[in-house]
Amino acid sequence: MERTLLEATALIDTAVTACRRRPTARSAVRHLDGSQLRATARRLIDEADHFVVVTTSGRPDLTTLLAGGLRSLEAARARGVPARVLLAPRVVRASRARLLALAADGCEIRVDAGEPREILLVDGVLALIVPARDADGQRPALVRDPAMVGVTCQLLKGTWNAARPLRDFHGAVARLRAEPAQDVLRCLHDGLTDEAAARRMSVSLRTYRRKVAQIMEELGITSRFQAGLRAAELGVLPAGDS
Amino acid sequence: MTQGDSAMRTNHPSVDDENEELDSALLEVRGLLDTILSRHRDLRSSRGSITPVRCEGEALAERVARLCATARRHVEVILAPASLPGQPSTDALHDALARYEGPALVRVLTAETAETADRGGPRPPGTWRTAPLPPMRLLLVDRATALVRVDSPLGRNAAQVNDATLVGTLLSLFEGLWRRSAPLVLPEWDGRGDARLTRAVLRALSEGVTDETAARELGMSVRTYRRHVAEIMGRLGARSRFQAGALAAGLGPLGS
Repeated sequence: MERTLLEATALIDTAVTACRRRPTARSAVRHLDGSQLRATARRLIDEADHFVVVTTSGRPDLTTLLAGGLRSLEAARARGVPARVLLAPRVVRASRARLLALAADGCEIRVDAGEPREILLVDGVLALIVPARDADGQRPALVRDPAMVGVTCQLLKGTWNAARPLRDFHGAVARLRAEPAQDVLRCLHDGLTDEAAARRMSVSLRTYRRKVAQIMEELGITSRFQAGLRAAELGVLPAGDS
Repeated sequence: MTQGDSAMRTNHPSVDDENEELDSALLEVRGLLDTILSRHRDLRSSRGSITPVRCEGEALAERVARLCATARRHVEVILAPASLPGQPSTDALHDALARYEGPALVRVLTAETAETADRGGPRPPGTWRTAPLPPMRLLLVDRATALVRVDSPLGRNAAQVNDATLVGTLLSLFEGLWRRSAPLVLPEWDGRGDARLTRAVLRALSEGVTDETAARELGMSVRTYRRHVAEIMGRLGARSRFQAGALAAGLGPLGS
């Protein structure tokens, strides 16, 4: 027994020496357990000096992560660190009051109903990327590689530029995405005359015109060209346009 | 081991306690070793996930060409070079796309508008769309491997990415931008002096003023104004003013 234990100790010592001899490289990518996520995200935001960008689509099992993240963001704002938050509409609905408070505190918040994504960018040099869905072989990754972090920054910037500020976002987008509005948008898009559109939708001409007027009001514009422009910007165009 | 202990426990409690102490201590060490082994394996597998690539020399261009040629199902590209529009793009990515002959579905998102694209000859195959994009280059092949390049004040950085999570996220972000993009308008768009008038008409349309007001401000008859609008709609391939607006959304800042 003693000999076995002594051999084991020697082996461990060898391993320690080998480990210390390795160059102190911080790896370009480090995979994380789900269990390490919350602490890592919190630490990253707490250590941020220059800039924090967060985007989430509200993946269900990350809701506690989000709550913790909001707390860290509030603390970061108190330290004076600029922060940008890009959210899916679903997340806005769930945390509206807190987000409004954060926005009032100078945090820029925008809404974008894009593809699912869960990303935390810190100081332009670190990215914490969580798989958006439960996909096989995908684990959360902490990235330091400048090219990957850089491209992620740029892609998010492009998405951010097209997103709507929180204060603009209201139920309008949700309503515009619902089927009834989409039917009208499709008719407008296809260039049907009002009469043909009313026929297609099996409503009276008057009803159709009223629906169009409602949509124009939701979009906050006065002409149909503007309506198309705005609809494109809001991302509520019916799918399948060429 | 624990089963055998219970027989001993009844006879010699003090000796058994010591054995149990040793036992649990050893198990603790064993548990720690398991954790260390698993973390070590994580680190090792992570190392293959991203490979930095030098931007200088031919290394990057070769990788781009090689990777692109292997594509079988999907190719997604973002071309947003940091150079000013109007300069010839001697771009490895552009060249690789031009040479691509495989079966993959190619989608290219470019920051250039029709005024500056197509200057280097016929457009490579695939679906090309345009959107206002910050500078970057991205090549996604078969949704499994990505080559990325970013120029920043700190230098140029490129890397090959093989990790599923990272590639998945790049694809997600690409899709979002693709959905907001507009078709690349055909080259016949540009004519001498037409560009400025076109922009003026587009701006008037986007301001939502009546045709009469727009015509007056542009110093033309309403009829002429409407003819210009119809012409623009034709070039955009729009069947309605609404659709024209939707397409114009992708043409970049209308004021520029």
